Amino acid sequence: VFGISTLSISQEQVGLQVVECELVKQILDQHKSKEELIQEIQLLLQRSPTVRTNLLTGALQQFVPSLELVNRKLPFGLAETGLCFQSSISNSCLFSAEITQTSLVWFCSPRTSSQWLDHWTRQRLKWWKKFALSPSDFSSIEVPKQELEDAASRGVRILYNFPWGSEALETLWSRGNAELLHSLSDVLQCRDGQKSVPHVVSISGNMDRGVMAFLSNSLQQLKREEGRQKLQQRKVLKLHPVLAPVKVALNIGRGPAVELRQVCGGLLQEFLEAKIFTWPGYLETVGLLPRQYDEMGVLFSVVISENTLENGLVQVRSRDTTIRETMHISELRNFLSRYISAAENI
Amino acid sequence: MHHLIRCPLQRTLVSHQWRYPRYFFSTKPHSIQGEDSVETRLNPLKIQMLSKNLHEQIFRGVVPEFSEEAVQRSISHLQKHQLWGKEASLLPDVELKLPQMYGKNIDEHFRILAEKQSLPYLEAVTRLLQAELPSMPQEWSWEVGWTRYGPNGETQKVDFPAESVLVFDVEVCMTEGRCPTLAVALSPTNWYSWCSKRLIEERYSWSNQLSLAELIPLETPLNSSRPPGGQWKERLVVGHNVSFDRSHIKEQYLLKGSKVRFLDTMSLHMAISGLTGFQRILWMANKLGKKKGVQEVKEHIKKTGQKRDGPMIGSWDWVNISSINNLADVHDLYVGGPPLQKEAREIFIKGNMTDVRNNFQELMQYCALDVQATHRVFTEQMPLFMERCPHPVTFAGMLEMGVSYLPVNQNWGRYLEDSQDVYDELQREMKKSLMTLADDACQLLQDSRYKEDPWLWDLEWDVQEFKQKKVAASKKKAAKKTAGKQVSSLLPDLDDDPGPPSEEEMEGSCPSRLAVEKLKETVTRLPKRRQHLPGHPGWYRKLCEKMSQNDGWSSGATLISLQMRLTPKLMGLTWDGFPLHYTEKHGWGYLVPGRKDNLNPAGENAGPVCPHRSIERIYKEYCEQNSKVQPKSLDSGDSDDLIWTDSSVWEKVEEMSSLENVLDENGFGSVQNDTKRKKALDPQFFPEESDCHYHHGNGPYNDVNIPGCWFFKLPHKDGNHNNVGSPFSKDFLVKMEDGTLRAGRGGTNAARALEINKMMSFWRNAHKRISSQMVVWLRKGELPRNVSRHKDFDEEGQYGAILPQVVTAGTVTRRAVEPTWLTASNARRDRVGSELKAMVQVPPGYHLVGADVDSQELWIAAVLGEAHFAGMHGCTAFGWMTLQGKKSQGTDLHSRTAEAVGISREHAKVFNYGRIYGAGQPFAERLLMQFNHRLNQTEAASKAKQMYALTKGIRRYHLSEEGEWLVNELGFDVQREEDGSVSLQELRRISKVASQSSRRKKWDIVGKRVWAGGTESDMFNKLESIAHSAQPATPVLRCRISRALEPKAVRNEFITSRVNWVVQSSAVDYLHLMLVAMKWLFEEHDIDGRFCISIHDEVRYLVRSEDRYRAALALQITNLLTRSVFAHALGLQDLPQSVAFFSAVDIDQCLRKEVVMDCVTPSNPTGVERRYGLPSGEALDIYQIINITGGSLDKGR
Repeated sequence: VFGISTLSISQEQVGLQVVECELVKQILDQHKSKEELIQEIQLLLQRSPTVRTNLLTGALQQFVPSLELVNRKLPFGLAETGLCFQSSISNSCLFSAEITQTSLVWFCSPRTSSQWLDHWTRQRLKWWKKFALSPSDFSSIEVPKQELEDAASRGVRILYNFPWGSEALETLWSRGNAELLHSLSDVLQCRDGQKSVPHVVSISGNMDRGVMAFLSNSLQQLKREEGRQKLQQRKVLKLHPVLAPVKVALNIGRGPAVELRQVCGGLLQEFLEAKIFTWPGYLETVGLLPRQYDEMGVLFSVVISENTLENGLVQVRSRDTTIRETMHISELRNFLSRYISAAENI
Repeated sequence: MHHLIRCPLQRTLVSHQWRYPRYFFSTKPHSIQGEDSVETRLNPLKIQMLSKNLHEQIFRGVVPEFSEEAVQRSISHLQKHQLWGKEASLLPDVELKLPQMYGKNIDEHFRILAEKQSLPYLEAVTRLLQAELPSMPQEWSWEVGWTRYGPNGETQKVDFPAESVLVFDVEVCMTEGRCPTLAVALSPTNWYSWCSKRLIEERYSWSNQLSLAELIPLETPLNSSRPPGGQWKERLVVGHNVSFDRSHIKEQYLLKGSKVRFLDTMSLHMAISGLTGFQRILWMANKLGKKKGVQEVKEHIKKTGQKRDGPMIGSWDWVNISSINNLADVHDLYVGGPPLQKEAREIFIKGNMTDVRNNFQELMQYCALDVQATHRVFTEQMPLFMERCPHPVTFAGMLEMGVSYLPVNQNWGRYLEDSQDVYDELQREMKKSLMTLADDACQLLQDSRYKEDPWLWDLEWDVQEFKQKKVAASKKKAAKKTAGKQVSSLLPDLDDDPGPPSEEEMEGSCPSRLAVEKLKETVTRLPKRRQHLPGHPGWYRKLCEKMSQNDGWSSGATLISLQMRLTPKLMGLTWDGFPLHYTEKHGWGYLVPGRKDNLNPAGENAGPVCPHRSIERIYKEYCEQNSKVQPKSLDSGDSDDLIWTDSSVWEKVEEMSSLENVLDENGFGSVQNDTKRKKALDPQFFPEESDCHYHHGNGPYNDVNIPGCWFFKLPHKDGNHNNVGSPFSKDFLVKMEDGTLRAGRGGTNAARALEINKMMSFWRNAHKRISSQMVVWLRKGELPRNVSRHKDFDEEGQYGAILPQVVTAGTVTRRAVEPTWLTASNARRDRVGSELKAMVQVPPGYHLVGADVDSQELWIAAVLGEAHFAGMHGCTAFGWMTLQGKKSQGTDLHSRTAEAVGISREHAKVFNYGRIYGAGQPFAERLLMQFNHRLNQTEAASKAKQMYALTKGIRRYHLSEEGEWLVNELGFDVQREEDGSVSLQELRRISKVASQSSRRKKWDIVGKRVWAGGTESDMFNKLESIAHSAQPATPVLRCRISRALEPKAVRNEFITSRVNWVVQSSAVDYLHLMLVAMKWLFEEHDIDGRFCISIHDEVRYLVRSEDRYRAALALQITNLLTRSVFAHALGLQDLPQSVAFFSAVDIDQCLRKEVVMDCVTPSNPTGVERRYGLPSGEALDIYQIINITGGSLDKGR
């Protein structure tokens, strides 16, 4: 799989176009006849560029050069992430939305295309599940025949079961080779040696919705009635250690504030250098409560106190177990990075 | 050698009825519907018989006759069981021209067929038995391929041994894959050896994939898949467990051609002298003496209540006329002499190829000695076998069964990969769920909330103190001072904005960094060996890996697994609302709150205190929830976990029968025994106030002293005295499905983990066996033209075969045994990998044609009973229900039982089969309690009793001569039935009086025992009369029971096995008859196909697509003829129409239960149609097949 980056604007006249509002206004202001107006606007539309609605088209155009790159050996794939613009009409008002799309366009032999579709479905589902707290909320479903896109012979959706119902995070299509033939017919004809035009399996995902899915999946709300005591609640955003934006928070406890802050500052630098994103809780006058860190999905909160100044020991509270463990300051960074990288391997 | 004589058919069974005026059969004597054609025939019991034309062709004009008395007796019997006069719809008649049949009657027909089919192989056997064997070579040739050894030691390289009969043994170096390493063959004239290329040529690596060229050729030269001259010859290979050797023979993987057949000395041994599973244990214990297994013998003796040398001794004679199955013991049994040396075998199992090379001569010698031993065994066995299984069909059927063949294609690999993948994924997910549960439980540490948790209160919650080395106080102070000084002196003013970090700071020498570095030095004060998570509770620490330097470390409670004792507690499992609890002594159970007698202040007891109040609370919640929901019906029948395969039912019965042997059989003494048993069940005698009043279960066990709670054990499938080791075992899956056992907390995590556990169960148990199946792929040239030139042939596809290693007669009933395919369950939506069978897929241009024999064992049992009772079809209630019973009218067997006992039809099925397999009342009791644990012992016992009285009937006794004499002598007035039998009470009375009035201690007053009054009584009387006869033999093919089970050897023991043997061994006869008939029809009518596999009551053939409908017709005719042989052999010269044909013949492209099953499983989520392109097959009944084929088997119609 190669990563590519394609233009987000093309000259093809389908989908959304970028039109300078001023120009439209100018045309409208010119007080011309209806026919002339239509003509002008059509001309303007013809000249103005189109923004992409998906990444597939761009990738298809990269097929020929890439084929050379891999010495004409199938299969290979082109991957890309980028902004796409998708319009949807609701209540007769048109608006366009910007989404971050991920795309893999996979070129393979016609015989294996169905198997590759299965392969990628499995791989993609595995990927989603890997980071999930409860993986069973992610599932895949075959697209029913009547909903197949024109060129596609088979399609699979990867769904997430949101509290409000299932939504597709990714869609995989087995597209055959019609589009490839169409988009590149003249170029392909010059090529010999290739017995048949490869089939295309396209995988495109909506990253924005994917993020939503992980957020929703990771939120754990525990209710526990404990005897005659009040209802206790715990709300935790149990984001996967790799995904959690903030890995660790540094706080100060009892003791000489200035000195403690200095130590925190040192740790902060050390962590940032190790690419461990850290929340500088010690900078605030009123530090956040552990509960609040839990809601932010911060993996660990570290408390530096006067004890630390004496013997280098810190308290590390884990988001997942709520247990406070004593650790030595010299081992913190190593512990954190190993914790995160280990989580990646499960 | 063709000594195939057998006793004439035993007409004596039905002879008594000829005393009465005869009641002649006519074509339409009892027409109920008036519009019957001349073809429709009904018997006096209004059961529709074969159409006239079929009856004439099969029974050759023999008209069945019935005595008026027999008819009346039957009618009154049926009336008694409310079955007489039920409307029965008529089936359309079948008009069919059957192929020309041989002999005077249908039995002779089959004899002639079988003799013809096995003739060349029997000739080969004779040649081998008569041969004077050449002497074994002293030195073996180190050369690839076959070497022939002449009489004077000269060697010659040959393509393959050319003789028509061989004794053969293959050895495989197990650690190096599945490729055969070396082999030895012995023909009547020469010795042969074979060496693999992998043995002779040393190479760094060999392909994992086996090709034909690497297998042992027996018929074709190297690089060819045709025999020289193009003619396949009928040849015979003899070996011990020969199916293993067969799977290494090249030509056996070819789709077509080979006429080599295999004779397995292990199967012959089973048929002559086989042992039941339980006998095998006893045999080994006996042989190995006191060292091993003697415990089992003791238990057996205890259970049967007999002493080994007492007067009632279960005879141990059988031990000396049988053996377990391995060659050494079989050799010892049949041949004797010095024991076979098997030590060299270890090298093949544990050693590598170099070891084999280094010991080549020795290992060849070992292999040759095995061949020699096999030959000797065979020589001894063959006459015995012919004597004991005299019908030629048995021999021919066994030969045919030995060549099973499962075609597979590239989808096999895909299936393995997918299943493993999904399995791994699920395992990961389950672990994740469990880890989350463990993490969440840690929260209870705060404020010691765990003390109030109904499950976790007794875990280890201690935390450790963080240890540091002791530092001399002065030093410590000094260190602190200097540290403090430095820190303060370097401290910048933090209130100022520090601005962007300077270069200095970037290099790490900024003051705050220095402060940290300084603090880090205090690390020296930590102990060298770090404590492992001192702040976490003890149980959690144990679940975490120690963080070490190696890369494998992962964080969290990664060591947790479902098998751990704390897992059910973390999940908060409840049983009917009570929290689960584990004790060392009693295993898993649950706590029921409310106990008062041990609430006294625990005082000195320092252990954790049970939060009985929270237990009470969760039970209350459970009750509140449940009162909202409708109470579930006592038995949730739809769960398909209960649909046992018949073999598993039998295993169960066998297992239990070893416990209840005497209890069940010897009803005379059962009362005493029962009370003894009950006492044994209550190990503790506890005060009355400590009995739980509102909950009934297995307990309470008050030696578990938990304040405020009673402890009850979870029920165990093998009886409540057994401890439950894990609530996640297979037996509790059903309880989870019906909600008895459920996860109390942890939300979705616990429930999901349970679900995953269920999904993984199949693949966990089976993946090793499945992925080690030996698949051999065929190259294009090795496939028949009609495959490689078929329009669907895929150049890039793979086509190959698996040869399942079927032991043709692997059990004492001569049923086939094979661990993977013969026991494979059907695809289930929630079991990973369970689509296994459907992965057997035909090559292009072929179809699988096959069928299940409809309720085979029930029918066999029924027809035996009918022959016994009144000699006509449908004369017993049991028989009537199997023939005529309708699910819709509730008159079929299972519905009847279900209704009578108040259970579901599915459950009733298990009971019915169990009973026919010989299971007694205790089995039913236990099963009832297993299906519905809320039933208590007394209820279950009464239900079981009721069921048995209704079906099997009640034991009655005929007095022995001594008994009659005694009664006469004493002038005793005895109440007898018409048949002269007396009841148990009456018997007791007599025996009491007898012992009072005589000094003699024991009178042997009981003669024959019979069953009476039930729907199945006559059937059981028949089965038992066969089982008790001096030489038990199957009623149809007259195959005698294993010597180890003949009454001569075992007297009255192993009755369950013997009764079961009658039916199951007859089912094997059934199969053999079918195989012979099919082979005949295929050859006679040029149907291009081969035997594929038989799974007990099911046969499958691999057939060229254009011949598939003719093959289906052949299969239907086969069933008709086979059932007719049964009827004929039992003296019933007729056959009911309803059982004459298969209800459906499946024509399909893969192996599956129903042709429309899509086999959706977690590893095959889209189903076989989408994923593998396999459309639904056709399931055709006889009428459809006649429609398609015009009722003709002939080609080119």
